Amino acid sequence: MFYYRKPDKICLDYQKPVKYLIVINGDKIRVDSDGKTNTYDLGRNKMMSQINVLISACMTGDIDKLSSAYSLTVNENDRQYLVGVLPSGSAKSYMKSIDIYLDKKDFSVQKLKITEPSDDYTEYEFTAKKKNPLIPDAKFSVK
Amino acid sequence: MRNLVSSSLLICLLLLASCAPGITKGFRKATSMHVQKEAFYPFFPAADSVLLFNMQIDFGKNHFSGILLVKSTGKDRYRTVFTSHFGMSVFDFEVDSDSFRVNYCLEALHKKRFLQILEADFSALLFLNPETDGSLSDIYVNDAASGLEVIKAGKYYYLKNKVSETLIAIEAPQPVNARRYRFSDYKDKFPALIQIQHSHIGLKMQLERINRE
Repeated sequence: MFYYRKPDKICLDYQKPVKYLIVINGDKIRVDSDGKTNTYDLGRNKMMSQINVLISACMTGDIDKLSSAYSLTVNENDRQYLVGVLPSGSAKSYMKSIDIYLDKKDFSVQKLKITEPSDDYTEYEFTAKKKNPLIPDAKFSVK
Repeated sequence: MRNLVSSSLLICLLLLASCAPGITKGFRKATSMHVQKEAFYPFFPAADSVLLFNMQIDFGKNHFSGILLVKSTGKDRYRTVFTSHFGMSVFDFEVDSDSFRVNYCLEALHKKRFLQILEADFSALLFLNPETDGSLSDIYVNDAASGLEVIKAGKYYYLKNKVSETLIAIEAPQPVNARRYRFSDYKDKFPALIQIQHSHIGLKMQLERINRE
């Protein structure tokens, strides 16, 4: 399950193949697995913080957050817009491109593909989306 | 002049004695014998399986955290991949007893010294050091705790618990490149917590096993 609350709260709740919870709240990240909780300060690593901000922005379609270090291309078919995010400068050393597929009906993110310089990639697909549900604050707690 | 040389020699001997590894404190050397890998209670499985860990790397003020995947790809050969929590690769290595191949590494970490450290660490954790397979090793015993034993193989000291048949720690007490590995919270003969410390350069790593359901 994926939860998002503007402007900077994300919760990724994995069930398979392992139970794994990731919560990002501002500059803090909390990870729960095997009954243990670890909390990290994203500010302690500028590069990892930038990566997290970038991916968070792309996951939520909030691409206004992207700095001028990235160039954008937009293509479309009858159902989707495809926003291509191309990093420039130092960001190219850890990311080749990000493809964001937006649903034309409501501009929500349907799919996100992050391609690394090695051409290895991570793909997220968002289904059964619900907008503006009531999400308890505890869902985004990093304590 | 003779007194100066004697004094210098004495100081050197005292310094060397004080560098004895802490892992052998309370132990005495009992014997030397050829020791096979099984005596070190290796815990990484040889079978084709993927192990997951929460991994943290702290280096000075910098911190990396994410997921480490370790997969056996053959006899004494492993692939280790460290990714961010979002899945982006941080490093991807293949390691066996003869080689260390870098498939990928984030540019910020792609430094010769750091890669050498990771190569040594993974070799130690995965029991790929050649000294752990049949070499003549010193055995240390603890008269106050007969269940404990230290094996010195090459430059590494292995502290093990013969009662629970688990490895407690490994130390490589070198003057400039000392490192310590601690294994704890065993479940099914596998440490749920592995801690690595390179005190001379302020580098710490921690692996917490993630169990699949």
